[in-house]
Amino acid sequence: MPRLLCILVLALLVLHQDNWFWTDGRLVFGFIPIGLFYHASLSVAAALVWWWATKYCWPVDSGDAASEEAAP
Amino acid sequence: MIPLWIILGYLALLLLLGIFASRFFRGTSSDYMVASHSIGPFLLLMSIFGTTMTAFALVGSTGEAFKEGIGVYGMLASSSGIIHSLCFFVLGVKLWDFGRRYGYRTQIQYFRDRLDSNGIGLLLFPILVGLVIPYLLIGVISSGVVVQTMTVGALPEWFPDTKGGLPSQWGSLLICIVVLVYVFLGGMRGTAWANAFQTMVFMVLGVVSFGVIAHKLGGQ
Repeated sequence: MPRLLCILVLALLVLHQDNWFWTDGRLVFGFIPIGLFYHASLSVAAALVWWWATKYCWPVDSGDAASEEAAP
Repeated sequence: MIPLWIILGYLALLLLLGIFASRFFRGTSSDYMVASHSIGPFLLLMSIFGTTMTAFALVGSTGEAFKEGIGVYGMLASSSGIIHSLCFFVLGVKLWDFGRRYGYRTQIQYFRDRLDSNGIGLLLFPILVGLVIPYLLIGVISSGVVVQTMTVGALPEWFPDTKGGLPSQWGSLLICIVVLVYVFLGGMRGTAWANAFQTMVFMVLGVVSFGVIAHKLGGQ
């Protein structure tokens, strides 16, 4: 799971570095510039990845676990 | 004159929020600095959004979007969605837990304890303050410019040099006073509430602005 999460986050970071829609004047659904739509979609993808990450990769008792690690 | 009254009303609401938050103050430094670690997920999200929506984001991104294209807004949103979450996921939860467990209220306390060195605290303090100052100044300067621009024509007899707009230095001073009052009175709780309130205003007006601008630009 953590490995898949790392891959997904890296993919998000790579996809974030777009250059291909900046001069593209096409409109998606007739009103959203495609460059804006791309990043809106990427934002939704980021939200889904982090939702999944907190759901499955974040221990429920992370607070207690961190406390135990910190204890002498 | 209407824009000036709207700005004043907005600032008055922020002041009231700070005063109201001060009624919940428990009289401890922990409550003042970190709201007794009581800020939940919703308030945290809204507060961070509001904190991010500074002049850098609002004025800077507008200028950059004018130069580069509308995608700038989306790029800022998606970078926040990726990077902020990454910081919280990797660092935030652990630091919050250490803070709660050991009573840390500042970053310097954590690093001093973790590295068992007072020197690191002395080193970090000027660095952290030095890094915050330009960020704050950008906000103060830009807010004054925005107030001046928005209030053009409101007070022509008083400020003929700015076509009746409240001069930027006055606007900056006014906003500094309002922010100082709600931060001093409300501490972290007041700040979080004020940011959450501003986030809700941003979100609603953002949708309205998008609709209005898209409608006006339609067909061109």
